[in-house]
Amino acid sequence: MKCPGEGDGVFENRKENGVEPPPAAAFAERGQRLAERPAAAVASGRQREERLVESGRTGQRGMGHQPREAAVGDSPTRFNTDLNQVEWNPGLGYRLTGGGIMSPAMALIHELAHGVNRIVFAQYDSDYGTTEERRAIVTYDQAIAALLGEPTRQDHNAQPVHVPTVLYHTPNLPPPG
Amino acid sequence: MKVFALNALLAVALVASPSRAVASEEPPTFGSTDVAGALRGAEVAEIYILGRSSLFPGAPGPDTVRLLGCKYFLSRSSPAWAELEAAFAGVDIRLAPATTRPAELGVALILGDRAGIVWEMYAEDPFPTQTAVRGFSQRRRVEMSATFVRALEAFATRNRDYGVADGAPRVCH
Repeated sequence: MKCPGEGDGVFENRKENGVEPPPAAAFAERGQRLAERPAAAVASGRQREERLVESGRTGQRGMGHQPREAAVGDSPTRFNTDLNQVEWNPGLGYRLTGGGIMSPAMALIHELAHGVNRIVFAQYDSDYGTTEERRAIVTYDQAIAALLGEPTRQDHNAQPVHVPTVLYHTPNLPPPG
Repeated sequence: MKVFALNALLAVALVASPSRAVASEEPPTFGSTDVAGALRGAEVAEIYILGRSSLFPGAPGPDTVRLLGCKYFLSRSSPAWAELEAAFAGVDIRLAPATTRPAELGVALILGDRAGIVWEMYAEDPFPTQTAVRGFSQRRRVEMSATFVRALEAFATRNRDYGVADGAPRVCH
């Protein structure tokens, strides 16, 4: 199955010599290809953004346009501890302190990490705001972001930004000097 | 002579206009007396309490507090207005060093009159161990006493009747 514009994407099952790979092998192969994907994902996201700009769907047109963001909404991704529920905005990435943009998919992973952690009582943390945020970022975000080629972060600061795809991300900026 | 006078006038205008422009862009200064004065001049107050039940990918900012926080609204004619003024008795707001980490905002207080916003303040929801919290006031990064923020939260808890259901999460009321 191909997602529109994805080409030979990671979600496509491949047959070797006409034989369907076994599920476990297929899963491992997908994982490997997902790990190798980041550069392509960034390129794909940027190309798609360019196409959206060309077609006028990003709100770059003149007066009277309807910004594309309006269709996605501004509600932030969050984990509700009372309901044990994640609310995900697939159109919001997060610009990190290092300058890179974390994808909406990584934001979802971050919130799912809170669910996995089963928070009982978070305490104040001078670097990450709370001990729970430290645990989610250090234990999950940093490892998974490194695996996927997404920008890693050392704090909980992030500004929401609208992005064209759920996998869209950009690397951290190189340090000055 | 006329040309000289015109040039002189133009020069004065050019010299005067940038400083005036800069002055208008300067954020308003404040101190504890200014805050008390803002409350005296305000006609309405909005309080937003985000609570700890929501966790976000990044530290919540002012927009998030206003969008998802439980909202309370009261006017000068409200019986609880005097109680709100009492909460201001403990306010101690000072500019924070520029190097301080951005705050994880959880509480907001916005004062207004018929012309618009008079004063606004955003602060962290203090943990029991904290004596001071970080935040923003009049678009400046500030620090303030945790006592003041706790007083605001206690005020909201005591006065749930002022809660505004419109747009607020169900768990507020």
